[in-house]
Amino acid sequence: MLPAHPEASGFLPLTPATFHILLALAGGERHGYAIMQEIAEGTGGALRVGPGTLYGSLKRLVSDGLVEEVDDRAADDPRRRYYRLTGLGRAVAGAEALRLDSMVRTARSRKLIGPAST
Amino acid sequence: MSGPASGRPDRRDPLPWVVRVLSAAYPREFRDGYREDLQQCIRDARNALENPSPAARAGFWLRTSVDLAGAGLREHASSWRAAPRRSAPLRLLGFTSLALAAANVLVDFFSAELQMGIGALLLTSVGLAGGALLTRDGPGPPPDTGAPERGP
Repeated sequence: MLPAHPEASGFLPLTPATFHILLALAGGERHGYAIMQEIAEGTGGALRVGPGTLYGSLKRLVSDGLVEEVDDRAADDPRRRYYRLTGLGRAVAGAEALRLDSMVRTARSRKLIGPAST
Repeated sequence: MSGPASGRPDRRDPLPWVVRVLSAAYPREFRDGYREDLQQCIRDARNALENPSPAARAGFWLRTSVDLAGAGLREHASSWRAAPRRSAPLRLLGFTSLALAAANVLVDFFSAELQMGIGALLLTSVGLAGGALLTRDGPGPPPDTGAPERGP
């Protein structure tokens, strides 16, 4: 269960690109290109985030405190800057997932989509 | 092709120059904070091209250029929104001054009888310059790029 974070709801709803960046970082710390790859693979190629869009989003996520740079990876690979989720970022991603889940359940209850496959 | 494993830059690789040109679309603060990251990310993506035919390379650079240009415009809009503003009355005065100067130029251009004299030209110039000064952002601290300092 995610820790409650009173600020999390203030960031919702997230744009698809932002949500997918947070999802990619929920799997561990990553550098820019690894985030792009993770998003493309996670969406089956349906969403491709370019480098300009990615770093614009990362800049905002860092300044909002949802993502932070990992300092100790610079020695391993100084050409790349690694990022990871903060506690707030994890809470915001979780809150967005719950919001989307609620929408899917509403769509299911109105027979827009079939029952969830198990 | 590029990005040698040793980390030494390949001088024949045009990528740094291309990224430098493309990143000109960004605000200076963003360029200073993220140009090297953009360069590395684009290099990784280019090196991962499965079919490096000329058409694939052209498509890659077209997509990258469009993405960088669009993101650059968004960053400019974002920094413009975040910049300190002059007070509303001063901005209104500035926009009014610009509108009057522009209207004066248009009327003179389309009117067969009116010829802009030196006095009107000076007044129009003062209106344009004053309007531009009053509508631009006031002085203030540089916007936070959100980019932490890169380690050594």
